[in-house]
Amino acid sequence: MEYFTKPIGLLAPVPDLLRNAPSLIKMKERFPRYIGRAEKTQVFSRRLAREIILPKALEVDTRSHRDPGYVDWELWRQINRTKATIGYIPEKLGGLGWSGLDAFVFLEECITACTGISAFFGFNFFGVLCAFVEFRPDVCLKVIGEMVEAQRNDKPIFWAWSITEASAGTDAEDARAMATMKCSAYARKLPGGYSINGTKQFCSNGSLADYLVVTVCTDRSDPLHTMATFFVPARTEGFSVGRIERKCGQKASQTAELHFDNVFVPDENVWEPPGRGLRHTREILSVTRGIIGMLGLGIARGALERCIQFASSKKVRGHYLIEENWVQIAMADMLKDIMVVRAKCYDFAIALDTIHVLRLLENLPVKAALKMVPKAFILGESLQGLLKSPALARSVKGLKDWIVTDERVEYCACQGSAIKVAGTDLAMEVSSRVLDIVGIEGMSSCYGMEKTFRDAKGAQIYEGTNQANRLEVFHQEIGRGLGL
Amino acid sequence: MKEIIGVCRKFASRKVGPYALEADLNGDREWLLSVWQESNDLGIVGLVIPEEFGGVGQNDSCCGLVLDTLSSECSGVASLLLHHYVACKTVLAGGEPGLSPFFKMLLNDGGHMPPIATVIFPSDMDERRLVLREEKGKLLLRGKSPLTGNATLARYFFAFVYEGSEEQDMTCVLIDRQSQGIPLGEEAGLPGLKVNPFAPVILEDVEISPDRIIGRRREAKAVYEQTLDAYHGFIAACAMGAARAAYSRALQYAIDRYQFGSMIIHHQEIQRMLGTMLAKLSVGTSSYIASLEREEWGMPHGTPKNRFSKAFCTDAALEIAIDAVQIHGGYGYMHDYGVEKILRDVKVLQLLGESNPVISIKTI
Ligand SMILES: Cc1cc2nc3c(=O)[nH]c(=O)nc-3n(C[C@H](O)[C@H](O)[C@H](O)COP(=O)(O)OP(=O)(O)OC[C@H]3O[C@@H](n4cnc5c(N)ncnc54)[C@H](O)[C@@H]3O)c2cc1C
Repeated sequence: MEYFTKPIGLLAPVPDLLRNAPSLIKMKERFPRYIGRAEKTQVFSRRLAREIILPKALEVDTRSHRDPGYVDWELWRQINRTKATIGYIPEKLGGLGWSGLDAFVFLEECITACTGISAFFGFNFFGVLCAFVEFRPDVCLKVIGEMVEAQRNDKPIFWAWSITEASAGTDAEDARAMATMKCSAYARKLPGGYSINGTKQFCSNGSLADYLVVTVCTDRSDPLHTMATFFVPARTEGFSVGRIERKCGQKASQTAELHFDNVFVPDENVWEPPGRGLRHTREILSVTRGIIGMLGLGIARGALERCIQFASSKKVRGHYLIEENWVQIAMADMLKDIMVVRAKCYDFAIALDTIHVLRLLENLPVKAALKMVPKAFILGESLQGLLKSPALARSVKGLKDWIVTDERVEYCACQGSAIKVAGTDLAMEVSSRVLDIVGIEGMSSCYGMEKTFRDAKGAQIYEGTNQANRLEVFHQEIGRGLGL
Repeated sequence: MKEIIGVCRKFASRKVGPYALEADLNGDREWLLSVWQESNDLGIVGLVIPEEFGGVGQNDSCCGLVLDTLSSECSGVASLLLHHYVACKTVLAGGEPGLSPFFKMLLNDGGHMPPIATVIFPSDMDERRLVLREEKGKLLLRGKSPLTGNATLARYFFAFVYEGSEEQDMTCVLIDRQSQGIPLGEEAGLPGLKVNPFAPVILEDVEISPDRIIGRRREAKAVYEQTLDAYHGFIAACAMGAARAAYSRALQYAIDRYQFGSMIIHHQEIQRMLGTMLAKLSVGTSSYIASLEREEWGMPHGTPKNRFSKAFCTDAALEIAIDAVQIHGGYGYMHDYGVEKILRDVKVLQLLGESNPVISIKTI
């Protein structure tokens, strides 16, 4: 990383959030705390990305290439000590109290430094999100309590979210496709719960997980109407991790096969009953697809920043590579696309804070509770016990359903899909194009650009392939209106 | 020619294909050398060298098709021969009186296994410039070379070097690593063509004896241009071979995979992707063959040029490989399926020789 010297991007000294997203200047006038915190988050994230993640990016990539099960726990601990591992938990309860916008700002900086490492600790959020989407107050508080405690003790807790099966990837994410999904895994009703059998595929962090959220159908001949969502602690008997995949890139983030052999799930851990599993999946996707768009943007930015650093430190025929006219125009072209996609990413992040699950924290009763009730009580068992009461649980869930309506979920899924395609296609394009600029010398692994190229391809595939996401945009924005 | 390609195809699918993925992971050198040995027994190694000097003496398009065929099983292996062929081309371009002695070396005096050779091309990058200078009647070569294919395997390096600051003052010299003890820099860790050890060569005032100059001193520009031209043509061939493999895997996968209630090949978008891949493959293949054959046509203007087919074929191959991975979905991203390897290989092929934007710029 010695060639990383110029004060741009990750090395830029000041928060440049408002410069990068100028519409936020107007927002800051109205919501100074909201935007001010995002700026602070940017400073925090850039430092973490530059000082902790960037120096480790190449080493972890190489080691995980040799051994796909490799984990740099010391690195995890370093990140954990900054609380970035629980950033999304309210400040009052021990986290950093990130809004959606904060989370996106954070992601952009970290991914720019390394996609694999960021996915390794960041995708944990997907699993935790599964619990929030569920929004059973006792579960949420229990999860938060455990995460906070683990952070304090420097002890990792990993979550994984598993929907994909060997013969169903796209089919696990879309209603039209799920109707014909060929399931391998299925759940059988037993007294007091379900028994799961079968195999799930390509689960990020599945091999590290303490907790898994798994969608499994109860009738393999009718997955769409019987898909359910289960919460499975990894220590449950019958659960085991299969192969950890050897991937093209994003190597620091493990992707594993999961085996279920008569895994018993008690009724209380059935998070969505048969028939509601897809709805749960869709709600997660309505958040995470936008996140993957941001991830793509980060990959593109990481590639371009490395290219700028390289081109401004290497001379060709007596002048710096960056002084070449065609290089300048190519760089500007890539930056232009990054600017455009970034604007849409932040727009989406703010939408999540306004009309999606994160709005809940802004909701008056929740806000008041967070403000007035002591932390120990919120995270204590007595409140959790109290919240188990079905009536109360129903009313809290009702509040959430009132904010996160089905319509909003589908709307955000579509917006997220558009961003996902834009961001990840940009990642592929930019990471490839920068290599054309720096040539074979700049492709040496030590410059990190070939890594961004390898990292980018995966992002076009997960959270729904870019084809599936395009179909999503068509159906929501065009097809539905025309009755197609 | 047809016969040679047939032999090569059988050889590649028996000896190369089944081990390519493993070698991509572990860089199995012993296996690579045994491939080299067997290629030699089949006459593939000596393809470029004229019969009168003990080689097989085939034309450029035959060499291109052989590389294409090998590359469809493993571009890394193909790139080993690619760099060797180009080294042989340097000797041819240098002409007499070097033909007989240099080819003799390359064929190991007719001995058991011919040594591997490669070419060190001049780099635009200042820190990778080799300089030849005369001191007390001795010719000394100094500098750190650009990344060079076959580096740790090769015995002979044909290097194009400058004598002054003038681009015109180019000389081509032969370095024998075995007898001259040349150190190598660290392997570059390129993402693709992994069995081929790309590394810089470090020359610390290596003495070049006058009989190791190819062609005439300070007049190697034309030799260089011919060599680079052959390099570009052969890179295009390798790229199309890799793309062919990517296409046929994607086609097969699209027939095997069901999603959205049907074989994915029934989705028009998948058909469009496969159709576009095939179109690029077909145009690319005819372009590189045509440009490799152009000397036989005798057309004065508008003849296909190898550098254009290199730019077109490698760009096309990259697009094809990206889509082939995409059609494989999550499986495409996993090493076991072998398509992501093609993607990595093709990206390296695309950057060999002159980079594609530079080709366009230098053309005008
Ligand atoms: C690194 C990585 C991490 C992952 N992490 C997770 C995880 O944590 N949890 C999880 O559940 N899953 C995970 N996945 C799985 C991922 O979500 C799936 O790979 C993805 O949904 C695609 O499914 P598939 O691989 O089965 O491809 P398929 O669905 O089989 O698709 C194959 C091809 O067909 C195309 N296609 C399918 N239907 C259509 C259509 N109607 N029209 C046009 N084209 C079509 C697709 O675009 C694709 O090109 C991960 C995957 C990767 C690579």
